[in-house]
Amino acid sequence: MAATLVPQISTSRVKRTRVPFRRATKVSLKSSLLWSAAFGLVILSSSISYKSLYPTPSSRKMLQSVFSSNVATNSLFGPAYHLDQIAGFTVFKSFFTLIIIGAIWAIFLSSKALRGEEENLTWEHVIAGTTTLAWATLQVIIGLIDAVVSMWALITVFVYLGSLQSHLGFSFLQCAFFALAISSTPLLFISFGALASQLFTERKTVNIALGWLLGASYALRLVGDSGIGLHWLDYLSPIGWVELLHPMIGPKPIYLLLILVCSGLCLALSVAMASKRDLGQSLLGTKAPSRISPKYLSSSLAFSYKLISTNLFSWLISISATALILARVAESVGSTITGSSVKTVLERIGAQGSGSNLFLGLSFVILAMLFAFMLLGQVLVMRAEESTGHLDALLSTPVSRLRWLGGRVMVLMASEALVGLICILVIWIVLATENLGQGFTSVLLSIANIMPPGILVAGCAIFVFGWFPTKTSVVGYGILAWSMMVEIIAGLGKSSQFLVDTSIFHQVSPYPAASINWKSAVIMTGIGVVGTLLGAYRFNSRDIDPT
Amino acid sequence: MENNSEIAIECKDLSKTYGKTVALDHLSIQIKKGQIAGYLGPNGAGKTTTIRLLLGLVKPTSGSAAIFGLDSKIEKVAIHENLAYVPGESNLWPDLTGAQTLDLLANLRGHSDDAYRKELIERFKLDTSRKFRTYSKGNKQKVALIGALMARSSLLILDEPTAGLDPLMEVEFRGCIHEARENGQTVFLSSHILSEVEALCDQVYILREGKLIESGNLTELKHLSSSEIAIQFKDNVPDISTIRGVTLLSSGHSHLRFKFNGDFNELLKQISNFPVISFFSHEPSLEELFVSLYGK
Repeated sequence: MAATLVPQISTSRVKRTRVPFRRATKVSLKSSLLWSAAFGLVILSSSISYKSLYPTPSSRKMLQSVFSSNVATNSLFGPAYHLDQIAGFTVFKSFFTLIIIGAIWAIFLSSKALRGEEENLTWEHVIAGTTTLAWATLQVIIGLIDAVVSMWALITVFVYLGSLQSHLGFSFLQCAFFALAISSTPLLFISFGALASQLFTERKTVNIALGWLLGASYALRLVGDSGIGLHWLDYLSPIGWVELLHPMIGPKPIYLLLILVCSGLCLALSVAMASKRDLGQSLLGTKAPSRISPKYLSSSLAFSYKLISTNLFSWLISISATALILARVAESVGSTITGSSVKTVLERIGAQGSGSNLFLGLSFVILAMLFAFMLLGQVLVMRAEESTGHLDALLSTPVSRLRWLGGRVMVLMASEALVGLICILVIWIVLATENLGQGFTSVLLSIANIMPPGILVAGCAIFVFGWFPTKTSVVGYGILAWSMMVEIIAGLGKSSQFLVDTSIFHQVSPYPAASINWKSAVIMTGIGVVGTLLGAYRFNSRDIDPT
Repeated sequence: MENNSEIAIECKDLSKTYGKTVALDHLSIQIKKGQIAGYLGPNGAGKTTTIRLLLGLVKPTSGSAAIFGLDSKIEKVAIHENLAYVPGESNLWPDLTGAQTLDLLANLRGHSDDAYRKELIERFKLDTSRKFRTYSKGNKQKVALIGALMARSSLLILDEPTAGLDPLMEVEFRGCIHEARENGQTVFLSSHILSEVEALCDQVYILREGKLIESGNLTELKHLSSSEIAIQFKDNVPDISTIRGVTLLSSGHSHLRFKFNGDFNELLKQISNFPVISFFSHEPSLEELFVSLYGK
């Protein structure tokens, strides 16, 4: 008798699949490794630069005296403690930036791994196997926690080894607790992400909800640290809990309990909710579709704007807020630069003037980075339109490829102009109230000065989109990541001039602390424009590639 | 030679290769205006590639494709003025509702029959207030179908248009295509649902591994395959083994069952001296034809 190929039906306990865990680990570990390395570099860069920028006890004391009582910087970046020591300065300079980046990373990671996988129907296959929605959720959560633990371990090792190498004097325990404090924000926001993924049906809604939570959390602790007797607000804010850990000097591990209990509760609740709901559903259901004004559906150009409007609004808020913060602290931070070796370093690259001018020059370079990210994001939306097949539907109507691409480029330029204009107004108003001596024309020129890197990145990305569409994201982010890495390496000490020149941000002069390098600006803009034209030329004749 | 103004779609030696893979191999077809042309082939035969070439979404490696006399590679926009397209997989904008998607498509095309759109929404029983991402596969397909049909374009290019539709909606779809024919619209229907092609199409093109292997109207194509014949005689059976095109399946004292793909006159002449009680002839269905072609 022929043996049957159909397995016998088993009534015994079935071994559950571990596919969700493996998949979550694979996806999250990769980005965890990259971010850990970047975080480690930022921490070491802060520590090493402190040694060279504030070499004498008097300059360190001055730094301490200026910032310890500065309400503005204390509210924005957390209270400054022990700035006369490398450890204190390292925490002050890097901690807040890293925990905010860590939170954003965790938001995108958790919403993708939990709600995103469900939304794109990948989980249909998984749940049809030997597992349940609750088990799969639990496995993904464990996979994501794996990534956070790896981040903790990697940052610890990276910073400790760097500290030994550069004689920074950090103990292993100090490094481990600092890394733990940084990693605790991703842990918190992964647990919030897990919970939000049970509450909302769309990944976009999960991200928006978590974005608001992060913003509210930051705002609460900002008020708490503003010195008006509302310090207790820190206890209501997840970012405040992380701040209370006080890493490096005078650590307070007791607040870890708050973080662990809150994360544990959210994660347990997420699994419990997953066990109660149907696949593809959520506890709060799908929100009613929003009304879209018919004018946004009237042409491909209007629709192009509609597609990026949410993204543009987020960038508008982020860049304007950054501009506001930088302008607001320019005077106080500038006063610490005056008389320190930071000024000497900046003078070497042609930056001159008062401390606030020098700080403003550096701040505008930071804004240049944000503008470049914003423009690249819009080019990547074009590629996403193609890879999802939406472009097939659009280009099978009487819309020419050049009209579509031209419309997108117009929207891109208009959004840069709009965000630029808002920044000009915000910075000008703040600087005018602070009497920092920067007129409208000066602020206008400062913003005009930081546009070329973004134009260059967008132009290069459009070029790649035209010729090698599947590589658009890699090349675009590659240029930005490389440039930022070079800036960090350059901040660590002496670097090869050739290497430093490869960073597009190094080509931006720190105006108003230095005169505008029009030659670089024209070259970068030219590369951007030529890249766009060549990309458009190729896009007009190439195959549309919905892969 | 056909008058060019009567031709809706014309491919001449049209080829497309991706690296070493030949997706379409020297395809030459002509589809007249007002015809419903079925484009058949198994998965990967090159049906979607042909459609993307016709739409100008990809460019040919060699040869040319023209719609209403306009080159697909050069005059894409002018061509798109006169056609509506339903993709095999309806990937439209997930955050738009069904109604917003239809509005957008109508605005992009620049023309739409609003009364017909309303009628189609009712006939296909589509709730247009929901977001596209929340639709089932069949409902997504309905949005794409209504979007194409409401334009009343001169040419409809439909790539697997009924994928995901339930049988009732398939009947509705067929009704719409018949109406399109009555309105003088040309329809290019890519499908592997043979009953659909059999019910709708005047002309059929069959593709295998990127090559056109058969074309013609259904009657012509059916003759390519054997009919199955069963005859019950009153007494003895004649010897038909000498007739060209006969493949004997079974025979008895007074009956014969055989496949026949030859000259019926010759067959009838041969059996005319033998009294017949019953004669059954079963024409091959398109499905049988398809299987016989791909079984080769």
